[in-house]
Amino acid sequence: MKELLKDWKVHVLAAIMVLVAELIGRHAVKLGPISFTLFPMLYCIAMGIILALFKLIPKDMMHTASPYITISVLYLGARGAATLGPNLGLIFNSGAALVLQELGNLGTIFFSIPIGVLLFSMGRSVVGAGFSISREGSLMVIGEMYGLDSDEGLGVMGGYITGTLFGTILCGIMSSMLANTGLFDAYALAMACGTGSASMMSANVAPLMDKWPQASDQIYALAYASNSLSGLDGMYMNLLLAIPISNGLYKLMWKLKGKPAPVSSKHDASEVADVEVEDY
Amino acid sequence: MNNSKSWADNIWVVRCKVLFLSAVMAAFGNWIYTGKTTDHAVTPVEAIPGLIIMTIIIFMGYGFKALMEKIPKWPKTLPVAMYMTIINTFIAMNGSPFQGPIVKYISPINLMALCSPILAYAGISIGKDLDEFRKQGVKIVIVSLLTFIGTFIGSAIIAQIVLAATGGLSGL
Repeated sequence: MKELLKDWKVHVLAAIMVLVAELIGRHAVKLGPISFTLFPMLYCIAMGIILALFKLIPKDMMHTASPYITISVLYLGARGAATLGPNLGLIFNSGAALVLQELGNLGTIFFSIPIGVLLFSMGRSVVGAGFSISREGSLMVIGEMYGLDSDEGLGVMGGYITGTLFGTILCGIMSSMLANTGLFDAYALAMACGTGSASMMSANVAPLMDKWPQASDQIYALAYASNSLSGLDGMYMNLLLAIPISNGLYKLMWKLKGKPAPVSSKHDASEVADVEVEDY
Repeated sequence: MNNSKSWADNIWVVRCKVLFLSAVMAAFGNWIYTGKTTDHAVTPVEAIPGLIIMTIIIFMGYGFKALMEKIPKWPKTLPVAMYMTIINTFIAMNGSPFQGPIVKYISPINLMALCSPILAYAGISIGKDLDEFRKQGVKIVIVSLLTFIGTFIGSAIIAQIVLAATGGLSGL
């Protein structure tokens, strides 16, 4: 029994964080024209970041907790059992939109690469950070094509770490904000939630389910279906569309600037971010 | 920490332990959350059947993965979540005898309550990436955040247009 509970500190801290987060509860925030809702799960991440900034969590606890995320996250998949089956009809009826919105993931390229090149004069790292939201599949593609010690690799690793730290919080606030604008339909936003890891998808979809409780099952079913679809097509989308388009746009933007486009260079192992890649 | 492998480090023991503790945290979190946001607070006892069903589905996912990987040359890198998606598609579809109980018992458990334990573990481990994050260039960080926003909005715009064209809008 003693062996089983040797990591008790991690679990007790997690339980305290959950309790504190739930007791704070959800809060609506209004900043001028922008309004969004903060949810307990976001406080858990925020507490972790704050505790780490003050060095209050020992390194070994961090490493012990890491594999537990990938186990605990499976409850998000299991929660889908209650919504996916009963809503198969809705999912098939929305098939065209579900498939086509996957192409919307490419839309970001026309946004991130021009800003990166024209505004920041970035080299090849902009392609790594800008062609996708840099989850595990993107790391694999860039690793195979350019190597993770290339400029592209530095970009995608930077994107991965940024996403791990702030992705969930950004997702939660962003979808809540967009839902409050009233510009989008609940189902359209639900499908858009599909990119990213399971916990990002959940942070995205939770504010929508809260806003439209009468359709919360349908919203989760569509987001879950979209997330599964991205998991299946993500690799091919990256290889066949996202990276070629990004490369073309990268050249075009540098031509617009009237300067030769920087080429990729290799970096020392010490410059390559050293993280365990575990999407959750 | 010593290096000798004890039974407590067995992957199945760890899985059972973490799933059990996550479920307990979710049960209490759900109690507080539903108490604050709905007119019926779902007590931890009421959440037990749903949590047990979900845990069974997770183990079915693990079992399905292990089974498929017995096929020669079957890719071993596919995540458990993908196998669970296949189970989820069929287990509660219309006509399935499990649909009634699955919907009845899982529905009271709010998605948010399940997220909190996951993100608590994530929050605890997040510090190990913090030092690496500090080394990242500001430009890469900004482009990455813009990419998150662009991906979401791009998908939402296309979904909105196609749903409007095919008459699939929720109307909410």
